[in-house]
Amino acid sequence: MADELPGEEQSTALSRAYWRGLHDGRLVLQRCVACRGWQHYPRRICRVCWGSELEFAPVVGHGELVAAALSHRTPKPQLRDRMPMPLGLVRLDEGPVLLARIEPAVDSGASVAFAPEETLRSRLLTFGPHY
Amino acid sequence: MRITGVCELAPEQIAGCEEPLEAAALALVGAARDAGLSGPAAIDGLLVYDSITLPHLMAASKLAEYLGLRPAYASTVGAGGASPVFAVILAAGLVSLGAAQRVAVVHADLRGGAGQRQSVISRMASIVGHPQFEDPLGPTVASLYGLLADWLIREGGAGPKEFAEIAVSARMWAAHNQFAHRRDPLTERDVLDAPRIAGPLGRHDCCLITDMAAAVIVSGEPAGGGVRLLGTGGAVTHEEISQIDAADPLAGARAAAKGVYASTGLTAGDVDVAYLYDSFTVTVAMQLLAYGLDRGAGLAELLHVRGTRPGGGLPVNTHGGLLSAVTGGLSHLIEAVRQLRGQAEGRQLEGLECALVTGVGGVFSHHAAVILGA
Repeated sequence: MADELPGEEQSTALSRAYWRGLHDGRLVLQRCVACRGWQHYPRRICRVCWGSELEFAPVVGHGELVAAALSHRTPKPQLRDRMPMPLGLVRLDEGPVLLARIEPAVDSGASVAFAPEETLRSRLLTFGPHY
Repeated sequence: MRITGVCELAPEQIAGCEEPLEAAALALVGAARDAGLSGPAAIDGLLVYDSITLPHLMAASKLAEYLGLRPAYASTVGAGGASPVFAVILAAGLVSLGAAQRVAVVHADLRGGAGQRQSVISRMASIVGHPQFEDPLGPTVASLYGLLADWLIREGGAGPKEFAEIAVSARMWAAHNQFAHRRDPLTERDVLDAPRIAGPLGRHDCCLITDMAAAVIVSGEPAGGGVRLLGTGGAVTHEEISQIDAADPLAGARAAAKGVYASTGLTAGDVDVAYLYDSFTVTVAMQLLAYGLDRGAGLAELLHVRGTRPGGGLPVNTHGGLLSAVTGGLSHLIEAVRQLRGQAEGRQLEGLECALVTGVGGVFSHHAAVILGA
């Protein structure tokens, strides 16, 4: 696919729903049918109850910025002119934690929301402040 | 159960080696000699933490073959920075079973050469980040530990001055270690003013990337000069940072602490000297808290009042650690053995009864701990 996002080239049948969702501007994660718990990355088995029936559904995309750090270096040549890049650990209201770009940068502790347009524009999973 | 022999190659000895395997072989032979052993028949178990720069599918078998060993058991150990301590625990298990009598634990790598450092940083980054969901953002390992440092600061556990003191303390100890790669004076101001790498972490908050080669021998024999393995602890909580318990990133280290104290019957207050894996200053800060070494008084009190520097109340990483001496967690074990044997020369501590030694792999993911006794 010509417009593959970085990382998508590594996708598997299991993660296709996530990437398709991202292209549609939605954050689509995996959920266990038995215990209703969410998990990310997608797996064959629920990490909480070991249930094997799993489905994909959009999350609201709101969460807490648990930690933030301005990253000044990267081993990726294609990202060097975008340094320093604010990175953050986002704990979604649904539970899963994601590593994401934070734009505009805010301090940890802030409420953040998935930023679909900025994600597609920057081609990197991006969250921004949620007011 | 004892560590009966240790060897850390001097930088000039490693400089003569063109492959990590050569350095690994010299280190193993050195450790065996230190244990009073000689010849290939002396070692019947082998655990290798493989090179990153030139990995081998069966690194332990390769090293055994290179040295003419015919061990009953040989394997690589893959627990990242926890590998050396974890390998000693595994070795003790083999000896306890009677499966082997003398097990060598070996780690050698040539990471310090021109061009090697950047390639090691890239390779480490791609190993610890999920290829689809983390790696595309281009984090280094420092970026991920920078996030943990930010978390610790926001929780009130530490500030930039505490991180800086950990770096300064390591450098002050390194000044007394002739093998240390960085021995020039380092001040708090130097650490705080250095270029930032990620979040609160600057250049001096990150460990060195050097050549290294080290080995220890684990045996049940009461050989002279050996130090006793008093007990062990361990915990694996996740691998990638997005899988950490975001509500309690210290949980894994605290579990390892609980294990090592329970198995030895000792408490944090009994620890005379601590060898804490120091990939970054924040790695030490988090462990000082998780292992209870601050005695509940907080990091500021421990670092700025009791002190971890030479002359301080709780000496930490008396060789200079990964921050100032050399790459690789075996150096922590070896320094602990030197101190307990009374062979630490200009930095020898007095009245030592026990030393805590830890290893940390991944992004504060994999913890291994032992307490060694004189």
